Amino acid sequence: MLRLKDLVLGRDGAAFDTKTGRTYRLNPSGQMTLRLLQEGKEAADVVRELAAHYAQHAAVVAVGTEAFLGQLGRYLP
Amino acid sequence: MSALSGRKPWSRWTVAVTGINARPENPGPGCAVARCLSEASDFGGRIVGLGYETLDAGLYHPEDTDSGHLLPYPAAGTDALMERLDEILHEERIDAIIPSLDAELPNFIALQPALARRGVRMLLPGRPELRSRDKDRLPALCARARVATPRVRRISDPRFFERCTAEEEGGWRYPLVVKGVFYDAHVVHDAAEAAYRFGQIARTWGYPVLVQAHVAGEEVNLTALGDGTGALIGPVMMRKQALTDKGKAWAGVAIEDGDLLAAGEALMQALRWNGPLELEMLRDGAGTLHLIEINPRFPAWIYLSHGVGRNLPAALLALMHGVAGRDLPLAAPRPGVTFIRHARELIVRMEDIVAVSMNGSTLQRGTR
Repeated sequence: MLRLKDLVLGRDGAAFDTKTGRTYRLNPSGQMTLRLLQEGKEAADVVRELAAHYAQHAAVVAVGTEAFLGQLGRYLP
Repeated sequence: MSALSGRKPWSRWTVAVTGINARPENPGPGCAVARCLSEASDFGGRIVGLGYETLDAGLYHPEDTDSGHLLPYPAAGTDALMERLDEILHEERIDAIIPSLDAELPNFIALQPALARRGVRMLLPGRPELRSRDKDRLPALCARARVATPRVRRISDPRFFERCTAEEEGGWRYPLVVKGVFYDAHVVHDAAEAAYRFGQIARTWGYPVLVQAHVAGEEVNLTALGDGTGALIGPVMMRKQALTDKGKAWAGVAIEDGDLLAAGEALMQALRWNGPLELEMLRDGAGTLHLIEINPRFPAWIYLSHGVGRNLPAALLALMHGVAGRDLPLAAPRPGVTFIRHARELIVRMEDIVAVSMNGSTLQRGTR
């Protein structure tokens, strides 16, 4: 279970982890992904919304989203 | 009638603070405690620095202290301390003392009744509570609080390090941490290095020397107040971001760590601590928090508490005055607020140094 609630996303794209005190810089698609996850969206919904927003093929978005979720898992144990 | 029954508001008290040395690599907490008080919006009293050496910066700091006096070293004992405090009290009234060094706590605890009769307040743990957070007693305390802690052992013979890896000696594994009872800790990787550090600590701080299993991980700290009921009052949590050569933080960030808070609450409940304390914990790779030390005082980074709206030294005075912990005006946690410690020079006039050297007290200064 990711500690998504511990990440505070700033307007500058920096995500601050209130538990560890670490700050991560997210690119725009990462910011959107984090916002959607914090709203409670499932990964499939995130992929669908990102694909629509960036006019990108869903399969391509799915690969990037999966990688991003993997990073979140490593950084938010 | 007790001399403590006066209702002079704590915001007008004269408060004495110890531990006011300010060596950049390992400063005492006293200057930061004094700074918290001098910058507390609701404090307008006087601040007195109590030092041990002529070059303790807090004796002379015009922004944080109004006067300064030298004390005898803790090893001189309670009689010498009481005698010196009586001399100081003859010069100026003191309403409260905030002891800020580990080694002086036993003396101040012993003198608490005598000082109370002189109208001087302190909020301190009892001797049993102080002893139960000794480094060699942490495993027993942590078992009660259900908090992890590395095993520890007192040693007085450095040959222990040659045989400690044998099963019959406990099957210790390097690296280990060699520590003094009050101060100093070194990670050692083999018997020769361990014996060297053992000798160094024994010569500097005396016996016994402690050996503790090493936990690899990230250090997080919590400071708070206790009122003897088991409540954890005003916790402020911090992760060290940069260290001095002695492992002290010179930069840190406020965090909000639910696991650390839970450990703090459990330990406070087990200890029923009175006064300020600091928990030093390490989070291992699996995410488990291990208690490394409990310091019986404010930490040197206590100014961060003012930075996050939880000025704990000011809150301590309010507690001393009888304000309930739940009524203290403490802000919600503000994770992300960062401190960066820096050293700068304090210019001191020759006559001020001479006054402290000759008389043990600073010349009278104007108020801050």
